Amino acid sequence: MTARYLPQTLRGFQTERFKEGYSKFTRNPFSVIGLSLVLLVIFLAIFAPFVTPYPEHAGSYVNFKEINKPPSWKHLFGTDLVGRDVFSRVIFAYRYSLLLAITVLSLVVPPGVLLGLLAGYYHGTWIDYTIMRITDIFLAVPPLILALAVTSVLGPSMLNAMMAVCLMWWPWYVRLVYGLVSSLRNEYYVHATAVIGASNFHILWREILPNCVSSIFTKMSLDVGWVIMLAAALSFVGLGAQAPTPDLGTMISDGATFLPDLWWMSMFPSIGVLIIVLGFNLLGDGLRDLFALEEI
Amino acid sequence: MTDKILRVDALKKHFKTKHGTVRAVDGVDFDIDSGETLGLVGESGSGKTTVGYTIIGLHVPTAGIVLFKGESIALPVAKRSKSIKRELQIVFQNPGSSLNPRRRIEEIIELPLRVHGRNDHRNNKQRVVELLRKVELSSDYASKAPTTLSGGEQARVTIARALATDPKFIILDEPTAALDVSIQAKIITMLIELQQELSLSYLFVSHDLSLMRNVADRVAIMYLGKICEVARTAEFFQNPLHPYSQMLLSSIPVVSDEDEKLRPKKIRVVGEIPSPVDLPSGCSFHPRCPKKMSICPQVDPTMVAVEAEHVVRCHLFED
Amino acid sequence: MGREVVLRIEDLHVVFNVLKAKLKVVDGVSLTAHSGERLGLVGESSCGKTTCGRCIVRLVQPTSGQILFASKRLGENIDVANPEGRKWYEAKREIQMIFQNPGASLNPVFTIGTQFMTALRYARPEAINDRGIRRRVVEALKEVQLPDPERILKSYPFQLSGGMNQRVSIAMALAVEPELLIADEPTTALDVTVQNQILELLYALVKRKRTSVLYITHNLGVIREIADTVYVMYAGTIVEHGNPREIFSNPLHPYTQGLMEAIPKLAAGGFSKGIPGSIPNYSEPPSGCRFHPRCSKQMQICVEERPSFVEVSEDHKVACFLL
Repeated sequence: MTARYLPQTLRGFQTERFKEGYSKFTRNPFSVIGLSLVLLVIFLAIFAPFVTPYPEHAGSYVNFKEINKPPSWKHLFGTDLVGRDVFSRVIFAYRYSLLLAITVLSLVVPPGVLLGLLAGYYHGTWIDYTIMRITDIFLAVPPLILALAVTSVLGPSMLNAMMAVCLMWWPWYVRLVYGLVSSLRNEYYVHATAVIGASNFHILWREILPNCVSSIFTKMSLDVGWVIMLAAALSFVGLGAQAPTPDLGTMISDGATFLPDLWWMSMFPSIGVLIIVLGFNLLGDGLRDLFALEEI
Repeated sequence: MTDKILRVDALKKHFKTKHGTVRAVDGVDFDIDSGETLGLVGESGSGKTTVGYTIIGLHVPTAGIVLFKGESIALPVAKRSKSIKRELQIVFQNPGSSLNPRRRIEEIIELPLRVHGRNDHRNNKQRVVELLRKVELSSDYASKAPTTLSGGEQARVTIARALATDPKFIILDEPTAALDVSIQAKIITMLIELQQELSLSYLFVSHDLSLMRNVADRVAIMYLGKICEVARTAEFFQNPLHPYSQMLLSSIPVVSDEDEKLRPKKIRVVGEIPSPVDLPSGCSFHPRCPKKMSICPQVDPTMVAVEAEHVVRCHLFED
Repeated sequence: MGREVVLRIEDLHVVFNVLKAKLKVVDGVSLTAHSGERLGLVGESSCGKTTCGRCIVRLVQPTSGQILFASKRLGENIDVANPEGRKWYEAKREIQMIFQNPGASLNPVFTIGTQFMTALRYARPEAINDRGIRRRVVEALKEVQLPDPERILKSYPFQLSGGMNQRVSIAMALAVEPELLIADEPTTALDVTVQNQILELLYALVKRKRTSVLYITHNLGVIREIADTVYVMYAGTIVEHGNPREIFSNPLHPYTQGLMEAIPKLAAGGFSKGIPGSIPNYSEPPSGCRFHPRCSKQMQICVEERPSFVEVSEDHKVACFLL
C-alpha cells in the first residue's frame, strides 16, 4: 500500500517529502540541538574576525602584562601564557578545524566512493579483491600510529597532519559504499537497466549511486566531528598546527601542564572541541534517522 | 510450419558454491513459436527463473544452445548485438523493486530509447506518453515517482518499459505474483491484448497453474533443473502424465465445485524438495514418486513423445 | 464444533495516525468464532485483515470496539481491547499466532531448541525441569511430522527449509495448547506442494486438539478447503460471511462476485478484467458502503448509508443494499 494521500507530481512530491523530512527531523530535540550547534560553529568560523573581541590575538601577539589572567568580562575565557585572549583564539581555531575537516573530506570522499563503487559492482572479481585488500591494509594500521608515522617523517605541520588524516580516512568510505553497492547491484531495477543495454557507467552513476548518497552524507556529517578530534589529538602531541596558529589541540596541550591552577587555558578549548564534535554527531544521527526508509 | 522464435537445446547452468555445484538448470529443451505463450511452471528450486535469466543474458549458459530467430544468444547482455537487445525483453517479479525509486517514471521509460540511439528528447517524451497509454495509464504518470504508485500501476510501468524498444519476445518472470487477484486479472488481460496487438511471444514463468490454464498455449513443468513434461494446455490439464505434474495439480486449492471435479484426485505429497546441491540419483523425483519403479533411482529417464506435442520424461512411458 | 463462543469481535475500529492523516483501516468489523471452529478471514492486500488479527493478540491497539475472548484459565470473558489489570497477562497464553514468513518469525541467532524451550518455559512456568521441557519440545516436533527432531533442536532457522520452519512455528504455537490459533498467511510464502502438506497438518492437529483457528489469507481456494466459515473483507469492512462453499458458488456481494470472476480457474474460460477502480484512500474513505465507487450496481442509498447484514440463509449473510 502506498501513501496515496501525498501529492502526485514529482515537484509536489519533493516539496511534501521536504516538509515530511523537516517534521521528522525536528521531532527529535537532539537533532535540532545538533543542527543549531553546527550552524553556530559555521557562523563563528566564517565571521571570526568580526565576532571576536581581539582578532589580532589569533596571530603572533604577545602582551606580557596580560598573561595568565583568569576569565573576566574583559577576557571571557581568560588569557594564555603570552597574554592572548583565549576566547578569540578558540573561535579562530574553529576556522582551522572546519577548514581541515572540509579539506580532508573533499579529498577523501570522492576517491573512496569511487573505489567502493567499483569494488562493489565488480564484486567477486580481481577488481574487488585488489581494492578491498588494499583497503584492509590501511584499516589494519592503528590510525593514530599511522598519523604519527606520517607526520614524524614529513615534519609536523598543519598540512602534513591533514595528509595523515586523509590517508587514514579514505578506507571507511570504500567500505561503506562497497557494502551498499554489493547489495544494490542485485536489485531488480539494476538488472532491468542492464538488460535494456545501459552501459556499466550509467548503471553505477545513475542507478546505484543516487541510492547511496543519503548514507554517504550521513557519514560525512558524523565524520566532521571525528576528523576534528583526530586533528586535535595530533596537535596535542605536537604534530599538527604549529605556533602561532590557533588550534584547539595545541591550546589544550599548552595549557595542560598548568592544570589545575590555570585551568581555563585547557578547559575552554576542550569544551570547544566538545561542542563542535557533539554538534556534528547529533546532526549526523538526525540525518541518519531522517533518511531511514519508513513504510507506511 | 510456423517459425520458432526461440529454441533452447540441452541448456545447462551450473553455479559453483562452497557447498558444491548447484545444477540449477540441467539439460532443458524447448522451443517457442512466434506469437505463442509458453508457460514455464515449477516450484522453488526448479530452475525456471534461471532459465529466463539465461535467455535474457543475465547468466551465461554453462552448456547448451539458445537460439533467438536462429541466432545464438548464449552470451551475456553486454556482448549481444543491439538488435537482439531490442527484441528480447524481460519483466521482473516484483514491480516495486523493478523501478529505481530515485527516478521519475518518464526517465525510467525513456532510458531504453536513449540507449538504443534515440536522443531526441521531445520525440522520446511523446513515445513515453504513447507507451503509458498502451498500458492504460494517463500521461500524468510520467512525472511521478515510483513509490507513489500502487502495485498494479508499478507493474504497468515495468511493462511499458519492456515495450519501449518494440520487442518481439518478452520473458515474464512471475509478473503478477506480488499482486492481488483482482489487479492480476487486469494486468494479465492487458498482457494478452498487447500480445495480440503487437504480435509478441511470451515465455511466462510462474508457479501458478490455474493462471497458466488461462494464459498459456503450451505448458512446460520443471523440477530440479529439468523439464518433466510439455504439452498443449488443454491436453495437459485433461491428461497430466508425469507423477510430479499430477502431484502439483492435485495440490492446487480451487474455488469452485467445477474446478474440483477437474482437478486430479488428491495425491499425498511426500517429502520436500531436495537441496539442489545434493540431487537424488537417476530420476531426481524418485524419492517422492508414488509410482516409483526399481529403475528410477538408477537411470535418468529421457524425454519421449506420447502424442504429437505431448512429451514426458518418465520411465513409465518408455517402451 | 461446539456452539460456545470462543471469540467475539464487536464493531472493531482501528485508526492509524500517520503524519498528518488518520487512516481508518478497520471500520466496524464484527466476527464470532465458536469452539473448535475454523474461520477464514479473506481479503486482498491492505483490506485490514492482518490488522484485525494483530488486534486479537494485542500487537495493535484498537481505537474502539470489543474483542471478547472466553478464557479457560480465568474462567471468564476478557476484553482484549481493554483488559483489566493482569488478566491479559494470564490469558494471552491461550491465544497463539503463526506468521507469514516462517524464516523471519524465528530468531536467526538462536537454535530451534533454545527458542522453543525458552518459549515453553515462559508459557508454562509450572512445567517441570529442563529435561521435562526438552521432552515436550521433542514431542511437539514429532507431532508436526518433522523427521529427526534431535537434529532440528540443534539447527538454526536458516539451516531449515521454509516448510520445516513453518512446522516449527506451528509446533511452538500449539505446544502451549491454546484455545485460539491465529494463522496469518501461514502458507503464502511456501510452494504449493508444501502448502498442501502444511494445511493438512494444521487441519489434523487442530481437529485433534479442538483448537479454534482463524486463518487470515488472500487465497480463497485455501479457505474453501480448510475453513468452516469465511468472512470476506474489503477496505476495513466485512461484506459477506458464511459457509465458504456456499458463498464461493453463489457470491452475492458485488465485490465477492468480482473477486470470484477474477480468479483464474481450471475450467478455463479466460479472464475477467478485474474490478474497476482501486482500493480507497483510507484517510478519506468513501461514505456509506466503502465499495460503492467501484460497484457497477451502485444506488443512491449506497453512498449515504452503510449496509447492515441481510441473512440470506443460515450460512450466508451479506451486507449490501441490493438485497
